[in-house]
Amino acid sequence: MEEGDLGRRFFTFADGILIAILVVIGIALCFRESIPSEKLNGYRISVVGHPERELFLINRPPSGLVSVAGILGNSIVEWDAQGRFRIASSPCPNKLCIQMGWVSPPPGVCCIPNGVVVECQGSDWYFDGETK
Amino acid sequence: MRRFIANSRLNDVVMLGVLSAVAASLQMLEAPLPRLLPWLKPGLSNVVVLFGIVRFSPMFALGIVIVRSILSGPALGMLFSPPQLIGLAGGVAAALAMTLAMRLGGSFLGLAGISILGAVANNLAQLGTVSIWAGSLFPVWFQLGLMIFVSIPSGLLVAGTAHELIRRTL
Repeated sequence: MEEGDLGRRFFTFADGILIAILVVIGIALCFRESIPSEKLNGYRISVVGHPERELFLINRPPSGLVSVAGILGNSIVEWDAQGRFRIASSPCPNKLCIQMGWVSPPPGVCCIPNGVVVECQGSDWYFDGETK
Repeated sequence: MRRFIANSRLNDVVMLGVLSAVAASLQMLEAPLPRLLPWLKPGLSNVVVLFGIVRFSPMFALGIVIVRSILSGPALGMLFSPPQLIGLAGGVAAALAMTLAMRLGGSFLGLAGISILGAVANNLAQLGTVSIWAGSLFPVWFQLGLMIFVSIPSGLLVAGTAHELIRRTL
C-alpha cells in the first residue's frame, strides 16, 4: 500500500469485518469468564523476586488485613465480609492497584511497581500441585 | 537550511527526536486524565508511531517507541521500572503488528484496521508481560475480552488522528 492510499483510505469493508470478528471474540471471552470456575480454596500472596515472602491463606484473615513487604515498601491487602479483597495501601507512585477497588474471586489483583500479587486459588491448582 | 535538508540522515535524526518528544508529551498529557478504568488509556502517542510507520519506516517507528519510553519514564516517575517495561513491550508489539498489517493486509485494510490491530497487539503484549512478570499462575487473561473491546474505540481514535495528520502533511 502506498502512503497516499493510507492518507485517503481511513475505513474499508475489511476493517468492518475485522471489528465484527473482534467483537465476537470479545463477547466470547467475556462470556467464558462470567461462568463460575472451580471452588475457591484460598488466596496466594506473593512478592515478585522474593519467593520467601510467599503467603497462603485458606480463609479470609481474622482482622481482614494483611501487610506484605513489597519491593518499594509495605502494601496492605484488605478483605471484606463477602470475601472480596483489595489493595488498601501501597507505596507505588500511581496507586492504580488501589484504584482497582474491591475484587471478587476468582481473579486477583497485583501492584506492578511494588511487586505484590494477590491471587485466588481454585481446586484445580491444588490438584496440579499434588499430582504432578 | 538547504544543506540541513539535503542531509537526509541528519534530517531523520531530527525528525526522530521531534516526533519522539511529541509522542512522550502525549503520553505524559494523558497520564493524569480521568479514566473509565484505572489502567485504561487511549494510547494517543500511538498516533505518532502510526504516522512514523506510514511516512518514514517501521524501524523509524520502533525508534520513536524506544525514545518515547526513555523520555516519558523519568517524567512519569517510572524509569527502568516494571510499568515502563510493560509499556515498552506494548509499544514495540503495536509497532510490529501495524507494520505487519500494512505489509500483509495493506491492499484491503484501511488505517482504522491497521490501528485497531496495533491496539490489540499492544494490549496482548502488556498482558503477556504482566503474566510473565507476576508468574504464570496469575490470572491476567480474564481481562482479555474487555481489552479487546477497548482496543476498537482506542484504535479508531488513533487512526482518525493519524489519518488527519497524514492527510495534512502529504
